[in-house]
Amino acid sequence: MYPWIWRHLPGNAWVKSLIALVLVLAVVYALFQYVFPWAEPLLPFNDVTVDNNGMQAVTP
Amino acid sequence: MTALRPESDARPREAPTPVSRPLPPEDRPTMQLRRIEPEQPVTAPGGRAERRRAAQRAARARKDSWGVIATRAVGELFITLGTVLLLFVAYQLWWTNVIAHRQAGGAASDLRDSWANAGAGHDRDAGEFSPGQGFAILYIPALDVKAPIAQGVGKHQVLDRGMVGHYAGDGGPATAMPWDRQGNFALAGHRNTHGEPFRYVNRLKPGDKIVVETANAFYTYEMTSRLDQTSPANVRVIDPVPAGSGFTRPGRYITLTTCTPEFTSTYRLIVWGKMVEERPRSKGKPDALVS
Repeated sequence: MYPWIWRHLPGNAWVKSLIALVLVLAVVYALFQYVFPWAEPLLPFNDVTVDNNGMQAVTP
Repeated sequence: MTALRPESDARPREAPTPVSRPLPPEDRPTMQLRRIEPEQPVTAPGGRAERRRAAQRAARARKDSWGVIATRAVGELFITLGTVLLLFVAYQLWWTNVIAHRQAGGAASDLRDSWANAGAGHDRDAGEFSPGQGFAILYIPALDVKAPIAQGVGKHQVLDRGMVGHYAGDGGPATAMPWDRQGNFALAGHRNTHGEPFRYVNRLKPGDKIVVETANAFYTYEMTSRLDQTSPANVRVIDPVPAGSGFTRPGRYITLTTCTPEFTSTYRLIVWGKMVEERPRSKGKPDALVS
């Protein structure tokens, strides 16, 4: 995958690495902004409330 | 030119250190190599061999078997997955705090502004606050904590914004407000991530002050007791007379709940306190916030 991307980037090695860096930053931004906030509630961390319905229904 | 430079470089190096005599003979061969190099591509036999070798390499690259390609793909997948997981840890432990502190700071200053505009009056009923709405600021001077308190304990609406949530009955138990004649003002906050206002709440000692600032008053509580761990289903800890707190009769109490052990949600840590002072805003800050 990565060699394929590298081969298909335009320009010489410098331009390629610059574009690659921008791509990496874009991916990290997407992860932090959209993917992780979406995934977080699905994981069983950070429940801090008490609730009579037990673990599962501990307030969303 | 290139022939001159190594010599001029070699001279000063030779002069201060007479010990390194054997250096010049080493330099000469490298010099010769360098001079010959540019001529190499021009001479026919070397270039052809080079081209043939490149073609062979390309052919070999093209002929990668499916096994090799699949292995490489799986390897890349795992590397990517590992990187994403590391990024997720960074997101949880660092970025959520950055965001939550910003949001909580904004909420606190918004509260201050609205209080300044509203003028003096009496604190109102709990029913007037909608879920997610901030209505007070919590101070724990011993832990250097200052966090806005909002109605409800919804994660997305309240807790994940760095605020402390008041159990207000939205799908869970409802508890009293500080200005109620009697009752238990129960709060929930994150122990880790998202501003982690209750990170060190386990370090509170009996007598430590917990101050709640509202539109019209400062309510000062004193920490009295702590339950190191209890089941998440144990709602009796936020009863008007909390079970396990040592309180026996109705009064004006505060309860802080958070998760324990740190970084997990297995149990809940509970801290109780009782009100020791109600001070109208007009009389200024309580001693706990002044010193």
